[in-house]
Amino acid sequence: MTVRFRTIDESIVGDHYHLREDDVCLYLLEFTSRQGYSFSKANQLIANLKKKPTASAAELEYKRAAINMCAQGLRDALDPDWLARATLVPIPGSKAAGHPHYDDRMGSVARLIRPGQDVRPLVRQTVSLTASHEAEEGARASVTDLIEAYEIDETLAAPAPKAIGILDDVLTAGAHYRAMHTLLSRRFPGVPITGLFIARRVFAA
Amino acid sequence: MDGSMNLARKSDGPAPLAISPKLELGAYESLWLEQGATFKTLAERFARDPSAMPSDFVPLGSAMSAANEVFAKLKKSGVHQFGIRINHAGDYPVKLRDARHPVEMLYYQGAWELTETRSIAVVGSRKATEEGKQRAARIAKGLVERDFTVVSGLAEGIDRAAHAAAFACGGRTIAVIGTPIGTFYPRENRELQERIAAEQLVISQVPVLRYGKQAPQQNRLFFPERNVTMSALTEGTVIVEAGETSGTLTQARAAIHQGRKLFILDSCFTRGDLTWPKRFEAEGAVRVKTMDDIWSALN
Repeated sequence: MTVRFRTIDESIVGDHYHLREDDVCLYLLEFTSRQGYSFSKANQLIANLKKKPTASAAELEYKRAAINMCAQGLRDALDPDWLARATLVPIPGSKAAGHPHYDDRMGSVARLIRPGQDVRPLVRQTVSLTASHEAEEGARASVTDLIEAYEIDETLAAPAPKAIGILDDVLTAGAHYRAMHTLLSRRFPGVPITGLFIARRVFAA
Repeated sequence: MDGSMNLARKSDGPAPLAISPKLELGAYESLWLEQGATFKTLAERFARDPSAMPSDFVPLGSAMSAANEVFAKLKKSGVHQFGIRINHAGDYPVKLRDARHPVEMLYYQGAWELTETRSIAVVGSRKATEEGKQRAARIAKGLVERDFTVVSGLAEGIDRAAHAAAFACGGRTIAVIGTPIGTFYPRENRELQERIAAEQLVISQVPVLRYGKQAPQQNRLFFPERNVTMSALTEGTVIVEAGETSGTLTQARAAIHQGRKLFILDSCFTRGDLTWPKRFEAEGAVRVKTMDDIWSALN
């Protein structure tokens, strides 16, 4: 997966309707939002990455492999000088810490990118929500819901970050990113924020 | 020399080499508008500078205005949803690099994931015989039964028969067309092309602006050129029927050059007026009497 990032530019930002034109978001892979393409490489990678922490040992082995692949892909595509001064902030999973399905997969990915990387879960979720990929269209949390469910973890806020990379596995409508961006830019005004995604979903027709 | 490296030094963002799909689409279309541009000249340019992107060779403003022109044109021809694949970005199939002049960018409509399935191309003459079309349909059905995707070029005759048969038996099919997406040739294929775009996958390497600006006679060259990409995308090509000067033979040569399997139906050999079947057999093509000849040649 030694590939370059693609940017969510003006020609595709409309696929992610919560994003704003000035959001800087990068992604490595695309997969089609449709049943029946579970065989695809991107789909497999994401499915393995999302395996619940309560899955069997064999399945968790796939999850570990997926975490490694994602870390490798990000390491290859990110500028080492930027990484050295950046704080990576994983998007909290849908379940709050303490829930049996609480999953810090993006934190695991971030910490594997580079030894000593500044990885801080600066945004934490105070309540559990239904995962976006499990929720019915329309029943998904809105940006406002998410902003309410999120809070800055002040115990991790110092020193203030110089550059922030919000890390998530899949970019769908962009609600989680937008909510994270809102909280982080309020708390750390002027600090450049980039969204880093393993994949974005696209529509076939 | 390497423009992208200069860019890397100037930027202080997280990924200086990040690719803007719109910019690269526009830059690639601009390169195609240069006098004398062909798949060969473009491939040679990128071969000299393997980490370069189209935007390294084109002023930003020209690239963006070309991109806008492409979006407007496609929208006008009814294409509201499409994607592109670009060398160096994720999802670009490395197997395309086996072509003699690999394409740096292509357009698609539908589910790109189909390129990740096992696939075989079924191609042949436009002016096909009834027997030829029936043979193409039988081959396509046999491929679908073994879960192969049927790839063809959406021309009339053999290609059309292969796509239609894949649909008829509930299989997957990919059309690699010789026109831009949203352009239909022949016109009668419009419905089939739209259906493949909506439910399956249509791929085009044809630059939209260049196609619109040059004469139909020159645009005809895009047809044999897409056969090279079709071969590179697949594990092998089945030639159902083709005359001595058929464009289909471009795909036969490409398959041999790219190390893909080349299958030629027995009926081509038994026609006394053709010399090419024996010639390609001597170069490694497999003579196909039954589907088993295909299965035993595949890994």
